[in-house]
Amino acid sequence: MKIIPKILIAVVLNFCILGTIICSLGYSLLHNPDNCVELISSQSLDEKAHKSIEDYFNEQYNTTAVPAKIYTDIITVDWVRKEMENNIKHTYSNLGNKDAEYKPDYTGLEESISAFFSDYAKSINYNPDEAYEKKLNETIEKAESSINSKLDVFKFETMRKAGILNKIDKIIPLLNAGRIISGIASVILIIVLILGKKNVWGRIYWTGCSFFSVGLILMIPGIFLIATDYFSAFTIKDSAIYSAFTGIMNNTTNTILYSGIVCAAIGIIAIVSGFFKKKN
Amino acid sequence: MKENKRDKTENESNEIIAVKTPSVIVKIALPVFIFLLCAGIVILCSMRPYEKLQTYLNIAFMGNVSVSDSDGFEIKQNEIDTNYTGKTSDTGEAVMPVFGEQYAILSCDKIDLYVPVYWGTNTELLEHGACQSTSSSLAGAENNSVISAHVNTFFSDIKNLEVGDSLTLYTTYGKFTYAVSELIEFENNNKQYVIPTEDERLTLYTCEMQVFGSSNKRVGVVCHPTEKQFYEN
Repeated sequence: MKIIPKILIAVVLNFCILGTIICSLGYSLLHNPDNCVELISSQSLDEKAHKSIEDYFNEQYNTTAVPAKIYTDIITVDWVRKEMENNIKHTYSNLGNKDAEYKPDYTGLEESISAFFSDYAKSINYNPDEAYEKKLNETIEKAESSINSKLDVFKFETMRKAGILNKIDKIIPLLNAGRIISGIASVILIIVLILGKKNVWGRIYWTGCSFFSVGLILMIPGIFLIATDYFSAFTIKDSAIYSAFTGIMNNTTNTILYSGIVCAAIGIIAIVSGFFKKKN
Repeated sequence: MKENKRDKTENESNEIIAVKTPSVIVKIALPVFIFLLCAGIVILCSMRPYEKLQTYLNIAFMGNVSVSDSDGFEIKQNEIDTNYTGKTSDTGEAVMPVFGEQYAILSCDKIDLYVPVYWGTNTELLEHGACQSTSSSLAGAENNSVISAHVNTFFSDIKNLEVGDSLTLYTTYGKFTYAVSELIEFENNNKQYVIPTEDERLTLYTCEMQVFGSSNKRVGVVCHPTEKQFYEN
């Protein structure tokens, strides 16, 4: 085989290998909720969100006169962790459903607020009336709305409203098909290159060129993002959301970098083998 | 004779091998060449998806990302309530934002549009969302509210709107629903659709999509209000 067709096959193989890696990574990230669930503990998202909720209700006490402990006795760290996990799993199972908003279990919170209002009304001999019911419902709604926004550290609700989750739902099957097709094409092209006519380049030299190229394409951006701590520069106000965002981005970058290192190593070994080709 | 013939063939093939064996430099340069070629193609193909990804990240995390001062003004993101359940009224007062402040969210279910709207138009603000011209009127006020955005990011699907489609503008002071009444196309030096009008309307526009460079043509929609809900505090 002449050199030009070999170069062309190596370039095509490069994109097949790259496609396999990128599609596999994308499919794993968008299809598997465990990536996000794992971040809850590794980034302490539950504790950060709970702190944010606690601080919020402490601030609200000055305007509502409802003590923060009425809320935080129910909204514990364990409760936050459980609802975060449920939210993630629910979202991943309903990506294409625009109306499938996750609703946490607020039964305990509603009872706590109702009990506080009832006790307070009794203490001042106030008979519950329409105004009382309206104020109670407003307090419960506002509390639930605030807690919802602090629980949703991955901003699934905003993404759902913007149609982003719907788009992700459509991409997932394409990523799955992409990784399978690219993988098969890669294997076929590697076999073509290896089983091709014996030549002065060595059997695996061109395969090595492709892997080396893929390795550098993945490694260089990964090294840049990690060396510059790129994602930490985003100033996100809420610490739990900041941790969720940087956690996902850093994990993804690390995976891309490690894939790049492995490919580059395979490539270098295969290329070097071409220098030691034995003559018949 | 047979031996002579074999020797001759061996000598010829040795010569051929000697001519065709690539040098070490070539063996090292080729992988680098392949890398540069493939990297160039990857960069070219990644530009549009990268812009889209930035757009989606801006939309997903809007209201949470604080942006520092730039060119003497601050880009301020606000938490816009899109689930307001309190009392509303047909009439009320619009609240004037400052330049660079996010004062609304523009939403349309038909084209999965959900973008922040900033008061004022410049290069930096257009990177963060849609921008409303400060010479146009605020939502809910009489006159023409003019909002623009980049075609390759926030307004990429605006060409898919049809007459009758519904859009909603959630602002800091109210919720305003509009229906598309006209699809428009105009040259960038034609101010016909961006000047004040006697009737209350919402005009959305963007550049016409082109493969290379930007177009002089603008495309968009004119919408008329169907419902006004000013928040009562």
